[in-house]
Amino acid sequence: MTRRRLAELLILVVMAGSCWTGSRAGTTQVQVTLPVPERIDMTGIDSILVTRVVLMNDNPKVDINRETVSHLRREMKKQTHLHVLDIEAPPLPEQPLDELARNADFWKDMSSKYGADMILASSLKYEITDRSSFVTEDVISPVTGQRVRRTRYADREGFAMEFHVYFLRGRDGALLYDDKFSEDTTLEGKGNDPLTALFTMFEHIHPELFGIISSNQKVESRILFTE
Amino acid sequence: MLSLPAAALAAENAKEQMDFGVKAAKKGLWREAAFRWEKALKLDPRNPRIINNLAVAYETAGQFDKADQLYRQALQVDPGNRDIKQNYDLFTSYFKQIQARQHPVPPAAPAAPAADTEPAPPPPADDSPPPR
Repeated sequence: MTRRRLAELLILVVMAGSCWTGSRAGTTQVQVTLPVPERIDMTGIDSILVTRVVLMNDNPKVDINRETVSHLRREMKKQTHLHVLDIEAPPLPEQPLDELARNADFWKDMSSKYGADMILASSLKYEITDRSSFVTEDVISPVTGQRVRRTRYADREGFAMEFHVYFLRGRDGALLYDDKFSEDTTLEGKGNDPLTALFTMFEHIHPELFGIISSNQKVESRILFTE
Repeated sequence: MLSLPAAALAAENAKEQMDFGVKAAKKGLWREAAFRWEKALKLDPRNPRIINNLAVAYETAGQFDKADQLYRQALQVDPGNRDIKQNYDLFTSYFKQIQARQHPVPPAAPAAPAADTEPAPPPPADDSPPPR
């Protein structure tokens, strides 16, 4: 009995130790807002031009190019201080974008033609696949009230995107930064709206994407001593 | 009335400044907090708790080198302090992310076009070829 009570007491002590998360005496936890600077030097850059998106595959259902350009422009207006040029997105020549991105003269000419301090060019691969399959799940039986395991066929669609962005400086056509973002999501059912799925995935990459050209903030916690 | 010895008086003032700084920080007034903790530190220069608080204030101001230096100094004075260590670990992780952001890609030199590929045409005019 004594041994058992001792064991119980020991468990309580260990549990209390592991659950303790509050501040120690003489300290207080505060939330601090920390600056996150933009990735590239934006000195002298006020305006940006979005080119047409180079599509890596066909999507017959929707005009991905037009929708993506509109989305990028709209979000850049909201999330950065840049003046987004409101003109028809210029198309790009038939050349791999990786190569074209290093053709400084091309971007310099484009920039002076449209009066842009910066150009955003991008390529997008957007795939929709059928991910329907049999799934096993636990459900509560309405008859017996017991938990039962069952297998059913679930309709699902998979959406995957690879978005490669290139930021080019207008005055000399230099490639300042490029990055590739990948997102993948599976939605229940069939006939999900491909644009909604695409923009939902874009929303996930917004902080990183716009953090390239715009400073940001993040909140963390720190401990201060009060005595 | 007997006057307090100078050291005790300084410690008392340092504590007042420390308290004032904490109150300011809790209201988000980090510049005021830093000012108070600077004053406290002048009165009590080897107090690791004041040094820690000041480091946090410098972090919020984006003065990361100064914050780093202060955290190290606080840990040098009180190496076993878990709270300072925790702050420093969090700061280091954040600071590494910031440093990585600022040097992610080397500036790209314009590549010479390959011999067997056509150079890119000039920017598209209104009669340019159809886009992809």
